[in-house]
Formats: sequence, structure tokens, C-alpha cells
Amino acid sequence: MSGGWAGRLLRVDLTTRRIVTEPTDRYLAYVGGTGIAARIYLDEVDPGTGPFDPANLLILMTGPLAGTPSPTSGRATFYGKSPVGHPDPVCRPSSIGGSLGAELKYAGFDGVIIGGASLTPVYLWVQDGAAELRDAADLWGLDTFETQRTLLRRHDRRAAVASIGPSGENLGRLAAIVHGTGFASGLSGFGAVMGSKKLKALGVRGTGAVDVADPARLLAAVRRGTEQVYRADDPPRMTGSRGSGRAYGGAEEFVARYSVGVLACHACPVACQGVFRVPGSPLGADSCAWPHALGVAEFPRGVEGWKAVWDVNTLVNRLGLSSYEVTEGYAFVVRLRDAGLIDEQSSGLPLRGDPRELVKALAHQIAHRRGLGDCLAEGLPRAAEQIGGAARHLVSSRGWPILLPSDDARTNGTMALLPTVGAFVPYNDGWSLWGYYGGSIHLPLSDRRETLAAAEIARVTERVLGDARALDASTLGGKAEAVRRAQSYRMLADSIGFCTWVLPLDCGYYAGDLAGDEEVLAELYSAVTGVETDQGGLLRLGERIATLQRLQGIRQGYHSREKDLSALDAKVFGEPHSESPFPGGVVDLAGLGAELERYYELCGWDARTGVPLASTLHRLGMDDVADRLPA
Amino acid sequence: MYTAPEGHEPSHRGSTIGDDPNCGGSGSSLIRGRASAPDGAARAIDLPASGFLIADSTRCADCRVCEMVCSLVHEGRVIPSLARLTVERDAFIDDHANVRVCRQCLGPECLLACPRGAISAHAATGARVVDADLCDGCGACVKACHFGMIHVAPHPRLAFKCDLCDGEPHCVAHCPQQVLSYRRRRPR
Repeated sequence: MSGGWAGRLLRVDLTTRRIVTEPTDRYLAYVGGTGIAARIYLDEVDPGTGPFDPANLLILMTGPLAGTPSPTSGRATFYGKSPVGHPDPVCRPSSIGGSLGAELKYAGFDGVIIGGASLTPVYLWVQDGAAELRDAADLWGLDTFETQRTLLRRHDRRAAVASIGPSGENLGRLAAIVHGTGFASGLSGFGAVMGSKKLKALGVRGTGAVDVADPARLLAAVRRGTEQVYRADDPPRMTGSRGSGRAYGGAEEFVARYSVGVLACHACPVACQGVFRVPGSPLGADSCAWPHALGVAEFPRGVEGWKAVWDVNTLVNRLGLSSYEVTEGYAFVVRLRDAGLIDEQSSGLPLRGDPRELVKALAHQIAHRRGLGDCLAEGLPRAAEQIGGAARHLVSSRGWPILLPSDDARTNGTMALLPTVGAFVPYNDGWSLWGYYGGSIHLPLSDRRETLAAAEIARVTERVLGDARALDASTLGGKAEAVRRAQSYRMLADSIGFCTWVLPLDCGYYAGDLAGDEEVLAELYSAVTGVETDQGGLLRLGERIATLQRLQGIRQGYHSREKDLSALDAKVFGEPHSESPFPGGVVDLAGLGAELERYYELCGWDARTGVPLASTLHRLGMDDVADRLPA
Repeated sequence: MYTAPEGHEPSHRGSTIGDDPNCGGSGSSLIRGRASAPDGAARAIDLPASGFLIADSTRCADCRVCEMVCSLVHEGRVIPSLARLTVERDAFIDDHANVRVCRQCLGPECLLACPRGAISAHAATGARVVDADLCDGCGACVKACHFGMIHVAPHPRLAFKCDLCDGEPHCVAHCPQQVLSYRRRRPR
């Protein structure tokens, strides 16, 4: 007996309001999530389609393990042409946690393919094998919390609802899709795609089953996987944002005062979200994303600062913004102010007042496209172009947020290749690959770094990432294989529906061997689906999907060797950095180019162009897409 | 100490419930004085479950692993709507989920209400269990339970409830947040 997939996809045309179902089987070579969504998109959508064209598809896809107790399998993926990419929009996945994916499986569907555009606001309601589009005139303009509460009351309190806020309605290019109080598809601007289709929300309720090929084997594998990330005598370090507090410091008092619980995505033992009840803010839960607002240097320190951060975070979630958009936007506005490029009158912002009020005013401005927020809602690179002049030099070229000083390519050889590669396989940024690449062994290793011998670190790094130099920040060497492997993992995780933050912990945090139990994922996969495989087999699936994504990016004009190299901010080649381990304090362009070629070769792509070779498609069992290669 | 009676098939023929003074705890007062309760009830009271589940909802992270594992064990597939325990959380109101489990009552109203005697105490654990051969899915037990912990499945129409997994509840074993525990009753 086989299990995992529900076997049916829901297809919704918002223009004609026609809803049909179709079988999933013909896409199974691409697993689920990102893989199946990318395959459907490649088949059906012209590569030149714009993100806000009705012909753009927004695909919500689960993986075969969604809805089962496999640890961290609760994530689903949105996929489509994202409005974020600059200058060329490109197809990207953006995953979402909570119970949306699992609920969809229990309702009998592996995914929802949404095309066309409605003239008037609508929402999609899916319940136990049936689906309908309903009028959303009364919901348009509401924030994401109000929208969800209305639909939960109206339909079923146990449903999972994902909604856009004012930002998505107003086509803010970074608008998020928000589910619950803190689960979101946040970095690909799919909230704006929903807004362009006049789709305010989608809700799902299912009471059905997900079949499992071998229940006893699955139960054993679930135990085995959970033991990697959880130990009774040592509560998981990430549970309830405690990890975030530790990372950013000073949160202990805030957590002690206002924390009321922890929250997990479906089937996740880690529970990275903390639930907080802070006076003056609505009840909310969120994970490690929210303390990034502490990047707002002008906020007060201590509990008052954390309260302000929480307040901003809740507001961002309600308005359906991306938290990075607001914190990066704030930093940009401060730079504009200090450079004398904007004033209070032209921007409509309290530039010299309390920074907390400025951040909140900015969030409202972006969401409602008022004042300076109208151009900031286009994303920083486009905003900088609109403002013109010196503003252009205040953002990085492709507009992905530069998160932390330690991620500067000039000081960190790993981060030199990651943003470039993060753009190869169109992902949010290098950071998201870091989720596997660095996160996988970063957490287990960094907690124990002081007690571990260098040889042990090298051994673990080599086993997990294929090259002992993979985490050595002082060199560009040894990154190609690691990046290739990390990308296969990442694709696999997004296609099965695993959390890319926790998945690597499945292979290591509490394992006897820090390099982890690398067969546990294959064991879960085989037990649920009945398809016998091992880690190598799964990584080949990941490689297949990564190659498919690469092909998609090339067809959409986003990828070429030159564009890959340009993903790095020009300044990392020109302006020296005082803490750089590299000669001259800059990234060596020739050295990066050489490592890039090595990476192309390892992937089976043309070393000069970066286009997948026909022989590679054949080797990976992808002859079905060979006709999509550029002539 | 309790000794198991011969034969476990509950019968409808009533006899007076023994009001065993040792049989304290929830529900016993509900039973006392009821003139014509079935033998099964007497046995259930005589045979308190050897243990019961306790849920500390304040620890719950709403991951639903318990519901999934429970249904996987009992139904052979993952179908939380047929889980023997329930987890509910309104993200906009509740600090934490509310986890509800069967108490394996000393005076089980479900058992008393069943017109076919399909609910009895499990020989080994004393868990109040449904005999699928006797149950006709009438739903009298659902109405009787004060705690909403017994339900009727649609296909086939059969009542289902927590059976304590023969004394080793899978939900307890799999809960990552240590919400659930299996408390053993002290032997009398």
C-alpha cells in the first residue's frame, strides 16, 4: 500500500470562477511542494509573464509527508512569479508553516493552483473535497487578524486560514500571506500576487485522512527523528523563541514577563514560536524573525525595547508586510534622512521623533502606499531608482536584505558564494541557503565550538557538506560542493514540506554523532509513501528539482553567468573592509568566478553559461523537460 | 484488591451497584442509588482503570502529534478527526491549546448509557473500551459523556474512545512537549 499524497490537485480560475480537480500522479517525479509547483509552472506559463498578470499562477503545494507526524513536515510552499526580484521578476518558492498544508491534505488535496484574476474581491474556501469562491467585499481593507477571525467564525473554528492585509491589497511588492498570528509566506511578495488577483484569503478545513504505507515503521521513524531535536532533560533550545532571546540578548526579562506559551507548526517538536501577551498589543506568536527588528539601533534597550519590537512585529503581521521590509526600510529612511535626501514634509514621516513611532508610521505608509511609503512598497531597489541620485548607493543591487554585518561577503568567504548561489537557484537570498548550509551544522557546532577539536569540526563539516573547508570564512575554496549539496537539501526540504531551519537538526543536534542520523529522512519518506529510498536517493530528487528551478530561472531571463556574479553588491569587489581576511579587504572576483565554474561543473551545467546540459537532464531523469532548454 | 470476574461480556440485566466505600473519586456519587444499572457498570467501578491520562495544556505547542499518532495507531492512517483525544486552539484568543483526554471515569456515564452493553472495562488496564461487535453507533454514549470524549465515527458507524493503548499510550510516548502523562492509580 502506498501513502502520503492525497492524489488530487485543486485548480481555481479566478477569471471564469471555474474550479476543477485533477490527478497529482503525473507530477510525482518532482515529489511535491516546490518541485511539483515548478514543474506545473514550467509547463503552463509563458516565461515572460509578469507577477501581476492574470496569467501568473500562484500555486500552494504540500509535500507527501504533510499531515503525518513526521517531525517538521508541517510546511507548505507557495510558488509563482514573485514581484520581488529586481530587475527581473522570477519564479520563487516561499514556504508557510502552521497547519495550512496539513489541513489541505486532510481536505483531500495535495495543492491548489490559482490562476486568472477576479474583478471583485473573493476568498477561496476549501472543505473536505469541495471548494468554492465567495464574495469578500466585506473583508477587503481588513487586516490579516480581522480577516481570519471573521472567516473562522463564519465557517469553522478549526480551519486554517491564510490572508493578505492592506499591503497585499495595495500590491506592495514584499507583501506577505499571513496565517494565524505569526505564520507567513513572507519573502516573495505573494501577498501582492494575491492582491493582484483580488483574492483576499483562502481557508481550508479537512476531516479526512492521509494514508501511510507502513504505520509501525513511521512511528519508529518519528521517534528517531524527534530524538535528534528533542531531549526530555534538555528542552529544545529553540523552543518558544528562547533561541532568539539568547541570540539577541536582553530578552530574558521580556520573556519572563510576557511569555504565555509556545507554538509549533503542525508536527514540529521544536516549537520555535513564542506566544506573548503584551499590554497594548494583541495576543500573538512569532518565531525568530521578529527580533530582527532589534536591528533598529535607536530603539531603547531592555524590556521597553523588546516591547516596542513586539509591537512593531504584531503590526507588521496585521498589515501583511514583511518584517525585513520594515526594518530594512527603516534603515534606508534613516540613511536618506541623514543624507538630506528627504524631509518630514516630503516624506510625511516623523523623521526626528521617537523611533518607535517612526517605524510604525512607516509600516502604515508602506501598507497603504501613502507618502514615501508609496515608493518603498516597490521594494528598496526600485524605491532607490525612483528617488534617484545618491539614494541608489544606499541599497544592494538586487535588493535582498543584507542581514547582519557578519554576512558581508568581504569578511566571510562562505557568504561570498552564498548570495550568488542563492540567486542561482532563485531563492530569497543567500540567507535561505544558509538555513541548511550554515544552520545544519552551525547550531550543533556553534554551541559546542569551544569544546570541539578542530579535527572534529572538519570531519562533521565534510560529512554533511562534502568539504572540510565549507565553513572556513577565510577562503573561497571548498564552497562549490557544499553549496551544491545544500541546494539539493533545500529543494528537497521545500518539496517534501520539511522545515529548512529544523530539518538539518534532524541530522544532528542531539544525535550521538554531530554529523547526524542521515538516514532518518529517507526512513520517514519510505514509511509514509511506500517508495523505498535512501539519503542518496532523496538528494538526487533534490538535485532534480534544483536543476528544474535553474532551468526555470534561465528561461525567465533571471539567470546567466554574468547575472549570477552581479548578485553580489558591487562594493564587495571595490570598497575594502577593515576586517576582511582577503587580500586588499575585498572579494576576489577572479577567485569567485573560478569557484562558480567549479560549482557549475559539479551541477552538470555548462561552465561558460550556467545552463543545465542535456546530458544532465537525462542523468537526472528529466527528459520530460529537455525541450525547454534554450536553443 | 480487585480480582477479575469471570467473563467480561457486560449484560443488560441489572443488579444493584455495589457502593464500595473504597471506590472514591469522580463519578462514584453519580452511580450510587441508581437502581438498575447494568453489570458492566458494577464491573467498571469494581475495575477502575489502572491508570488515566493527564494533560497539562499550558505546555501544549499545538503541534498535533498526539492526534496524528493516536489515529495512526487506532485507524492505520493519519486522521485526526478520529483521534481519541483532542487539541483545540484559537490563535487569536488562547494562550495555549486546550488538550482534552478521556478520564476513564470511575462511574463511566458512557458505559452506563450504552443500551447494548458495548462498553466495558478492559481486562488488563481497566480502560473503558468499546466492543465494535456490539456497538451499533446509536450515540447514546456521546450524549451521556460529560466531557465530550466519546464520539461516533461515520464509516462504519461505531463509537470510539480512548483505550489507553493497552497501558502504554502512544500519545504520551510521542508528545514532544511533555503535555501528556499516564498516571497509574494506586492499587486498592
